[in-house]
Amino acid sequence: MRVMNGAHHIEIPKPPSAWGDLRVTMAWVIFSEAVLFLTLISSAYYARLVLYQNWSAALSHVLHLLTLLAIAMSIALWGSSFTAMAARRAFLSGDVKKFYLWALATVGLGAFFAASQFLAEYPSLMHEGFTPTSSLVAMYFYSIVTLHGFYVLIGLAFWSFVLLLVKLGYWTPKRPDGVEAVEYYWHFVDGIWVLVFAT
Amino acid sequence: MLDMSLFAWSILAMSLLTVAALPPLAVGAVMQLMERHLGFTFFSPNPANPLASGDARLWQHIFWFFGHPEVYILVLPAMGAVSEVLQRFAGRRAYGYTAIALSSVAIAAISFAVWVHHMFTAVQDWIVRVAFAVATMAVAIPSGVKVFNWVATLYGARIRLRAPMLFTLTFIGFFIVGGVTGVFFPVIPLDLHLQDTYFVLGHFHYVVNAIMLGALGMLLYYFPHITGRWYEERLAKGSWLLLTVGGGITYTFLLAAGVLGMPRRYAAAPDPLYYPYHVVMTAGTWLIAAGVVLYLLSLLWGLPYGRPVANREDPWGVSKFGLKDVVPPVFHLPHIHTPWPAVVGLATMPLALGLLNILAAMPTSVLKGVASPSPSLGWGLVALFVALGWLGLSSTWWTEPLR
Repeated sequence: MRVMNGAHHIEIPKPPSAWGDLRVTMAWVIFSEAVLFLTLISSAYYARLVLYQNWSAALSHVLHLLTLLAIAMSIALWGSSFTAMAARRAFLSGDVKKFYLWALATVGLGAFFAASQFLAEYPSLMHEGFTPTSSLVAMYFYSIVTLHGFYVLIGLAFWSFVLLLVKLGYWTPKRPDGVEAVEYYWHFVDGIWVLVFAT
Repeated sequence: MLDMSLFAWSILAMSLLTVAALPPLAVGAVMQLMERHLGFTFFSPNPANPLASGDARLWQHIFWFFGHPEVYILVLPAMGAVSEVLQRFAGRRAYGYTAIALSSVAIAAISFAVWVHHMFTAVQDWIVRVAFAVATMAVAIPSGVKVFNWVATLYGARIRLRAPMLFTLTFIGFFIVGGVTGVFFPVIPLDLHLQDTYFVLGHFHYVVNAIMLGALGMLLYYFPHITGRWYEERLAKGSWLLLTVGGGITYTFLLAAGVLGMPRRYAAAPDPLYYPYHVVMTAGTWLIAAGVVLYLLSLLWGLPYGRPVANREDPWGVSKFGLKDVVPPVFHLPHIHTPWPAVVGLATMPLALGLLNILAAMPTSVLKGVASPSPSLGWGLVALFVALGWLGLSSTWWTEPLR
């Protein structure tokens, strides 16, 4: 703590470069979004602990949520983390064509996830009576999973925005901040899905 | 980077709190909206369907998980301001710089583990109560560290009792009273008695009025920097006297009425026992109002008629002990000419509103009957987005330097 004597706060030799860095900005965004999801997930745990009887009664009415489709969707989303990483690596090594391919693969996997969630999984669940307000479990299931679905959609918009900016020449292999930021965001969305899937 | 000014430290701690504490409030607000409009019963019992019965205390938990850090979001910048003004009028550097800086961060860290002390009457589990009581008492440690270091900074110093310093000293006094009455709340049996009484009001009025005095003192301190003229010193000192005396009277009687059992959120006192306390409180608030008027007069008089400042870089002569007021920025943000902030910030608003209108007008929309969307307005807004985006991309106005 000898450096913290307060006497030299005018002669800082070099500013921390981190503040101009888009990746740090993205880290802050991810931090606050993580708190958002954790609040919802802990609310679900609260309901499970405090309203234990209602919760377990509701749980016995729950359909089989872990369908083949859900597993396929999850594999697609987690797989897209690796394609996103490959896209970033291709971009940093200067291979823009390969970057487009990997990025489009990522977007395709994410679009498959979102489309099957909102257009196939939800209608079939609701058709069988698992409607959002039918029970505590359903309320939390739909709130958390839908919020995550919206994040996937935002991530898809973010990817298309970054692809557009790369096409326009705004982000280049020498200035790849945006591409790196979108990759981090995508990993975050995938990581949250691990948590959501586990609960 | 670690040897920042103390104000910067407190702002850092406050920013961390802001980023971490506000998302739960957002989630809680959205859950409330879903409950009110879409039939999700997160927080209320559902007699028709016990499987979907929520718990009202969950809302309290979410709210106070945000709410307690929020009070430190208020107090931390004021503590930083006080640390700075205090050093400048004591004519020396802060005693215990490291302790003051780290106690800001410690307050921020502990503040996430204390929220249940707002709801000891709602949570009956003794283990939970005791855990949060201990954590709440722990907040007193970094707060005390700050107060003791401020006092040590003042000890034996050549103090200049100008108006900003008077406001700052009252901050410390009021903060001590507010802090000590705050330590009553983690004492669970006492808290069960004091819950929702005027004692709580007295406690947080002392603290929040201290925050206000810190902010007013800092504004007086920077008035000569900002305007180039001095505020009217006698009016400011009169304002300080009225605010200190009036605030002290009002809040002390709030505390006293609270101990006797005067409940919060009542339109009228439930018992004649409390009448004299309310009369004195009202008199105190008139003193506070007079103090605010004098404060505004001091600034408004100083704006046109105040004595001109000789050296606007350092009106208070504080650079001679190494605490400069005007510090050149160490880092200039590069100015990049780009249309994207305008395109994203302005043009996407009609896009979002337009898409919402189009989606909400679809026959399966959940908003049917809630709102009256118009698809033609929606398409018009989308067209506006396209037009604005095209304008932003094709024009060159954004490549020209700013004038």
